[in-house]
Amino acid sequence: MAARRWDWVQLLTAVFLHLTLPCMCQGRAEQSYSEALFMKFLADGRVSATFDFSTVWSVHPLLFSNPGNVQHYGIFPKSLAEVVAHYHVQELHLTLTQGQWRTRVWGYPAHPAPPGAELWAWFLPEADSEKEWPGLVDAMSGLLGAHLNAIDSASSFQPLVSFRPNGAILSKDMSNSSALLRYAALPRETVCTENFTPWTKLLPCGTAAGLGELFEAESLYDCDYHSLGLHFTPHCLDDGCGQVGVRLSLTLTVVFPPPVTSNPSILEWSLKSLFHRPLTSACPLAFSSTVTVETNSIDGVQVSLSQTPSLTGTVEVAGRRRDRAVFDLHSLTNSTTSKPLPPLSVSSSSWAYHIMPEQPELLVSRHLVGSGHDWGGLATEITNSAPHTVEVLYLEMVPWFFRLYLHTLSVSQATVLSQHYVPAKDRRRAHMLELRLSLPPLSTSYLSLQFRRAHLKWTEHKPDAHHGFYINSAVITTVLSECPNCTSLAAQDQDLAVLRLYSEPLLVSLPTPDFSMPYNVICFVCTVIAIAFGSVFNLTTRTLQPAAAAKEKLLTRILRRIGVLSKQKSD
Amino acid sequence: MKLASLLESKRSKKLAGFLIKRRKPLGILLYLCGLVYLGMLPRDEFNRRSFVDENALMVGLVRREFRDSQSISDYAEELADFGVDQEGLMVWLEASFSRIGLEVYSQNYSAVLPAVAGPQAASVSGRSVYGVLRAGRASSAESLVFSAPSGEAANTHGLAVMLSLAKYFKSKNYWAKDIIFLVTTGGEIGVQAWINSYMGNAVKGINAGPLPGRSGAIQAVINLEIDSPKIEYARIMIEGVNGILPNLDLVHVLTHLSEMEGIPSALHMGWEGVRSHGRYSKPDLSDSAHKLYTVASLMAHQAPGLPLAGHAPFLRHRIDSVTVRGVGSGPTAKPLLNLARALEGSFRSLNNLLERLHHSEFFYYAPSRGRFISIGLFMPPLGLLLAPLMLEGLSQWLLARGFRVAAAECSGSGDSSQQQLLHPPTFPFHSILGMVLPSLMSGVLLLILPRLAAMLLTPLGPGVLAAALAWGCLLSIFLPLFSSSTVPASSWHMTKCFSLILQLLLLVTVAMMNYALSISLVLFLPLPSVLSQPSTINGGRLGRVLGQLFLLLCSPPLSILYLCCLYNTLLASNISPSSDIRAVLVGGVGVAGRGLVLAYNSWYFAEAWLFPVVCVVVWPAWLMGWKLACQTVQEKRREESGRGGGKPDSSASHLHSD
Repeated sequence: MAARRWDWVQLLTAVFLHLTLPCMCQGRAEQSYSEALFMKFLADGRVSATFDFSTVWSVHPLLFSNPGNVQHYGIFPKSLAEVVAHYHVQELHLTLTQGQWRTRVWGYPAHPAPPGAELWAWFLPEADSEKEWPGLVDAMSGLLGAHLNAIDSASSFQPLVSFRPNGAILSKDMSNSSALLRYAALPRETVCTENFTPWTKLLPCGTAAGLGELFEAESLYDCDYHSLGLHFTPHCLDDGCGQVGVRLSLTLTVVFPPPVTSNPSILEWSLKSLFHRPLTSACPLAFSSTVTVETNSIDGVQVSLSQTPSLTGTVEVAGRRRDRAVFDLHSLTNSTTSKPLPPLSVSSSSWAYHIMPEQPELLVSRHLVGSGHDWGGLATEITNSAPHTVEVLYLEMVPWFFRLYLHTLSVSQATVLSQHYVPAKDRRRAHMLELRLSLPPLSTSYLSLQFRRAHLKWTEHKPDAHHGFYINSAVITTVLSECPNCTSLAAQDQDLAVLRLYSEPLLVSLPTPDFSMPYNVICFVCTVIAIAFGSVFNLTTRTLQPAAAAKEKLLTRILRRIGVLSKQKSD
Repeated sequence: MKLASLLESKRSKKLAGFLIKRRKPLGILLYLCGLVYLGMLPRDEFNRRSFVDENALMVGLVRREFRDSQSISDYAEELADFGVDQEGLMVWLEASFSRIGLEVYSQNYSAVLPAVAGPQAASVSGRSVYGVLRAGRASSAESLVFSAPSGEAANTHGLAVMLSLAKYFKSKNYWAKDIIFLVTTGGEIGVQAWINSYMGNAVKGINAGPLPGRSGAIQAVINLEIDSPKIEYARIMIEGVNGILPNLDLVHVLTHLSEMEGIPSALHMGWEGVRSHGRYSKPDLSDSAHKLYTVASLMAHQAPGLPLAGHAPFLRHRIDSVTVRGVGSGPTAKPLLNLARALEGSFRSLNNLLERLHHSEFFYYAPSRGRFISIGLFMPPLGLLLAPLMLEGLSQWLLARGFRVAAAECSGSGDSSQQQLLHPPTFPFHSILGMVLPSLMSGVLLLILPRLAAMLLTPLGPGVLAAALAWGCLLSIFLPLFSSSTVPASSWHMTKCFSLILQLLLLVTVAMMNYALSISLVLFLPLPSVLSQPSTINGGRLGRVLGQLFLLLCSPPLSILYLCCLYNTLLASNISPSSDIRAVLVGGVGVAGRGLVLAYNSWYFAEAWLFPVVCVVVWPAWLMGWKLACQTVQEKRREESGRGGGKPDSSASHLHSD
């Protein structure tokens, strides 16, 4: 990549300085913390803000997993460190997302995440992942106040190749097996301040200083997309990966609605207008604290800044120049610590809604096929608009109550290179289908798969049975050579080598019993059997033979009785 | 009545004798009771107040804030310029939607109509444009559809209201479900093409292009049709394909909110609506007559189960949908802003939904706004209406087994030597198959004939279609007349019993799916088949001919014609009532022709099963009765019954030799 790595250089220098500084105490490994905010206009006028708070700690992950080895956590959140150590976690990724990232319009996400919650973890080679996973899930749901304990064996998966470790590889033998991996997603999980507040507690400066000052729940949730992330990975401390430490990256991506002004062709935002909070300081614990604004995200729309940036640069991404302006919070606040930062304001001219961006090379969309309560199908469209063949991994995870028929799998355009299918077991395991596909250049491939809906036991339905059941987002994983539509600040970030795209989750209705009906049905059936069935059964099964003449008719008997009674009365 | 002991004691024999002797007047009495019962149901005393059953809807709780009447009139002005230029309109709509900030997509479709009603071309093609408003807080798992058709009927103002609401909705951030703004062309076929592609169901005959953009599961659809800048009332149409109705809650949301905004609403063509429309003004009609009229109107539109409005194809996919039609431009008309605000409120209510609409009724009739007749109330009259079939079937069963009234009466007098023997039931399979199979084949012939005609002549017009069907009907009617056979009485009775019970089952089954269709069949099918007699049983030749004539007059083709005439003179909105019998007939024939073409086309496109059901179920059911009425029953049996001491075995043995 021919990018000018200005911020990389800066980061390296800082890391270098930081590492060479004498440690305050012996035995405590070095920690470094940086915070960054990357703002840009998306093609439809929305503004995306990507926060990245990352802590690197030079303690080896294997040492880290034993609580006895680490006494001082420093700025690393102890609550998380203990969970990681206790459950022998090597790598942990948790995202909580509200809304769907619209790749078609917004480009590739900086931190891809499916709607709802997603949790996946690699355990250390010596760990018993089967045993550790439920504990980890419970601990994480406690840590972030999320409803992750809905994850059970029927919603956990072990994808073979789609979710490889992101960080440094600790042992070679784990690279071929997914025995140490667990993946789970909850598409219905809603994200709110009850998740956000515990998440901010993991930040070294919290919301007291630095970029955390901008966090005000009301504005962060009053937006078009909101995604919290927590990523714990082993981290290479040098180029050759001779030294391995750990890295905790806390991310937040927010997409704000277009900041329209009275003049419809001018968009204008400032940190204050978007976040409803001013930014007054840098986090003193961070060696780097920056706000970066991309000034030419939308083609043909020029952006002007109200403030002179500390640094400007141009990144060339896939033949397109992207101008970026960096505001270093330390240098802005150093001289005048008491004075708040001048509000950064960005305005763009000649903007219109109907400027449609060039769509990203890879797109995925999935929809449900069929109506009614019996057969249904999943149809996935994967578009490759790159002029070369792209190899992708396609992962489909379907709950057991959709009876998937693998023989109905049809793939058009794309070639299936390999296939890994794990069939479901009722109430214990879900279906998982992983395909390695080769997408021809400039093509749209269609995948379709049919299923039948199973009947659940009536106690297995959720309280809102008529809402329907969700099918996890399908996951497309690929390795990108170039990233023209990336939203991320650092195109050279190693996370971006692997691109994940998540399709929409599907809401499918299952046949539901009428829950108020059993009582009525019991009453009705009893009545019908008592009155109608007996008579009809008699009538149809009895052979009729001439019976001896009855002695008296009922009516005459009754009449006589009445007559007798009246006689008695008269007597 | 204790069925089991019907024939065991003398008392029950007496009862059976009474049943056989008086079955016809009794049946007719029950039938009339059923009709009266049905007629009484729309009265307030017999039905319930409607209410919102789904608490999540929170109807009318939010403040409706839309006030931009200027944008409605601006859009309407711009739209008026396009006139009949559909393609230009679609391009403009695409631009407008994207100016508003929606994701805009379009779908091309083409279809070849199997039959055409007028001089129009058989092949239809068009383009539908839709814009998707993505809800920021949701993951596109659920969506609502706001549709407005554009095409034959001018819907300029409907589109204007839709566009200005789209603009307004876009500025709000409370949406939890995506909203799809859909503009279709080409009437129901455009909607059909769109929803079928959305659901991934390919339909033969419609060549629908792929949908480039989608959203999640559609929770509800509101279809808007307005052709005037001011409206007097909102006419809410609910009937879907195959008589499926949307959940009553959805209807209630719309009626309630339009009421709150000061726009009277009428379910379908409620009498209040008709009155304010000014077409009919019959002040002498009482309130309950108005309600009866409303229910009749609902039933008349539900019974055919054809897509009569833009929302109908959605219901086929179990998506609750309604059409709101703004009607009238009289002096009391209200501006469109009020309706737009009612729609805003409705969408916000639907946006609140946590589950699919399921709480309230799916089978109902609404006699007036705020009241409804639930299925528990309207099913019993059907039982009464079908009672003649039941009684007659039971009597025929007894007769087939040699039960004789005279003997029963004799034995009732206490003489045990006069005890008659009932022989066990013997099924005359030959006779029953000989009745069922040809009738079914005749039905299948009717189903195929239009296709055969289409090979010679495309596209089919209503005349050709009717002629092809009439040819098949006449053939089926005349064959039994000329090949009239003589059958033993027992066999005839058993076959008659079989055909009656079959008819009964058919009508009950149809009622389970489309009550209105069942009721309109009940008006014509049961009585003639109950009353018709072969010669030599209770009537001789004159009775037989009269019965045949009655049957013929109530044959399905003629019944359809009567229903069309009735509909056209009493219920249709576009024709002023006329007392001239000639005009009535001409109008009825016109409606029947259009209906035939619509039914035939909808069978292809919308999976509406009216045409096949009439051909393969209703027509054979009637034809069976006709065949039985054309048969002659052997005299021998009659003589025996006159004596009162015949051997029952004789007819049974004859039957075996048959």
